Amino acid sequence: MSNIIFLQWVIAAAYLLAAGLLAARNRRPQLGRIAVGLAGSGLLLHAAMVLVRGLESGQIPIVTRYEDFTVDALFMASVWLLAQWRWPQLRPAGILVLPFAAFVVVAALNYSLGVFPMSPALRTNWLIIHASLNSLAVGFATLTLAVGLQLKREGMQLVGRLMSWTFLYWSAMVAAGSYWASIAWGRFWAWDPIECWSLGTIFAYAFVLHLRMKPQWCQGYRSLLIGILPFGLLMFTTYGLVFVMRSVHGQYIFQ
Amino acid sequence: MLKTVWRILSSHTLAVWMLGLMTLAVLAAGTLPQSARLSPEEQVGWDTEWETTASWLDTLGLSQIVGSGWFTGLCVVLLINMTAGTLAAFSRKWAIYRGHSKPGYELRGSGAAPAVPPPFFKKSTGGMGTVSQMRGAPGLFGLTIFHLGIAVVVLAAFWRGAMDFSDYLELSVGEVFSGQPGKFQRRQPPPEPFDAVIRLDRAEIEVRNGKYMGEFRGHFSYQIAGSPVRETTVVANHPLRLGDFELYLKENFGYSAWFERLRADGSSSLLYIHFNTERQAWGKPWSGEKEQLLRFDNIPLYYSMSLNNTQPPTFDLKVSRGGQTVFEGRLRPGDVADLGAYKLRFQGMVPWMTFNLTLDRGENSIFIGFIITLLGFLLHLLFWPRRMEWTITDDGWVVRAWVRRGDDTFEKKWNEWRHQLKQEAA
Repeated sequence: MSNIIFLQWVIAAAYLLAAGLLAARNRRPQLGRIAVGLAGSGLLLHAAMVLVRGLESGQIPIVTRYEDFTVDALFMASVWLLAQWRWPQLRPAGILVLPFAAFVVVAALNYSLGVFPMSPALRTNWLIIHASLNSLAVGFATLTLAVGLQLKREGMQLVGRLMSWTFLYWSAMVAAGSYWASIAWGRFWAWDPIECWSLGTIFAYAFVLHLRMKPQWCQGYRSLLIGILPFGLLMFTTYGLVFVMRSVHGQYIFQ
Repeated sequence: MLKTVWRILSSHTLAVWMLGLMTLAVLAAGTLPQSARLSPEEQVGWDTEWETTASWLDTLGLSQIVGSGWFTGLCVVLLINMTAGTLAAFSRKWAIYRGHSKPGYELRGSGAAPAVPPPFFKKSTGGMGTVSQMRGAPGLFGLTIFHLGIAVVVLAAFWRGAMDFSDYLELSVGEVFSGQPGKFQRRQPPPEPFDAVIRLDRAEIEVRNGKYMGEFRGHFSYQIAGSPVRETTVVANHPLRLGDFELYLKENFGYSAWFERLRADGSSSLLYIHFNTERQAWGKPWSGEKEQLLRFDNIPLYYSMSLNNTQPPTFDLKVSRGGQTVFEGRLRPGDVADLGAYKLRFQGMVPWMTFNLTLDRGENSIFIGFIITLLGFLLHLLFWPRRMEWTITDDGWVVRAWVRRGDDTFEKKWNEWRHQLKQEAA
């Protein structure tokens, strides 16, 4: 157990240090490459830890709150690393993405590290599909916000594109969850709080994506506000809702 | 007049407003107490403890948002706006596809055609005339397909809403179900006859560490009208198809006391009395209590009972009628209680499980709609539509390009190309 805590802290430290180096890359450009290497090493360690956890527990490590946080942080760092490799102009976004991933990795330690057996309804590949799409959406949403905050006006088109990918993954996650609900419980939609908030997040993204086509409506602070709105909803639906509302998710996972 | 209506219905501004309102409406539905989500007891508690708020929500139509007139109205307006907007956008895109609209980029030159071809232009002009090229066409229609998928989902959901049936029922081991309305939670028969007979033969229920579900299976014998008797096992995520119906396993279970009810005329029937059982108590010594008014053959009897999971199980029963006790005692398997109106022979204790029986029409259409939606959006994201046209005449040449708004890559390449041409000219 103490090994896991130590590893989580090492991973968080690697991400934080990488973010610090990225922030200082203007003075010495090679620091940017070192930062990417450090973040990549942290990510490898992170991925190995998740893999070992999965092998040890004999089930996909996405059942408990601790596992959910750890896997989401993994996706945040992965999405940024892959994105900056493909589009180097996204590299500075790591200054915000990596500390956030580090925070999530450490925040995971607040929850039980125990392994809990999955409910029969969770023993399906649909859990992997549903949870992976959710983590991808979280990763893209974090990157989108970071790019929006950093690049501001110059990054408008890029933010729009990243937001569209977040929208796609989130919608696919909802569709996969809906199909799974139909084969598990015989209903594809029940207007449960988590279903309502997930749909609300889809509408919020659709609202913002439509709004962005009217540049006069998203000038100045409004641009920031409309970027934060769907991100906030997505994060609250993923992490906050089960704490404040009784929902179908709370009955099955995050025990 | 018609033109104005069409302009309003297909307007982008209306789409933004409707999406904003839908966001608020759906979030409110997920946050405020909704009568469809509350049990009768919770509803009474909410109405009494939060009387003023509850009455305000009722007045404003917020106590049951989904299905309310204003919510349905929002959905319909959004659907109409989406359809009209998509049709209008499609005609614009078709014009781009055919090269019949104003290009986003245009560059003219005099004299011979430039040696460096325009960006993304692969075809050779081969002399005088016009050569055009369309790349990434699927991306041009991605959003149209996406919106079509949404329309399929919404229409299928409306259609299904009017047709579907779904209700819970509890079955004990050994119990036979053939569609009796009394077995359903809502006590309403399905809209179509249930042409099957099922019997729960065995329940496999394993609780680990007193809390977590291990194995959870229901073993059934069933017969669909006209076909032979079959045996099957129902597990989570694998429902049992029974003609047009489907039976789903729900993670809800307990113990029930099992009786044979013996009438004075010599006939008999089976009686199962279900007790809610905590997971922690499963497979351990346990005792459940219950009080219930049971009416058989129009004779109401008040039962006070306790089922004890001992070896062998016992059943403590006190039955009264009109305030007079007609039976009181402890029953062991095989014991008979004479209640006056009829007799009960206690057979023992068996597990019960909850199932959801559904009759579904149109669910597949919804998932097809989901796939169309996601596929359309993926096309929109992956393909960048770029229509190029290069005309060479005796007087000079002209290059036109139709691309998507926000196509940074094209803009960059176009500017680079222009810069190159300027350098060559210099």
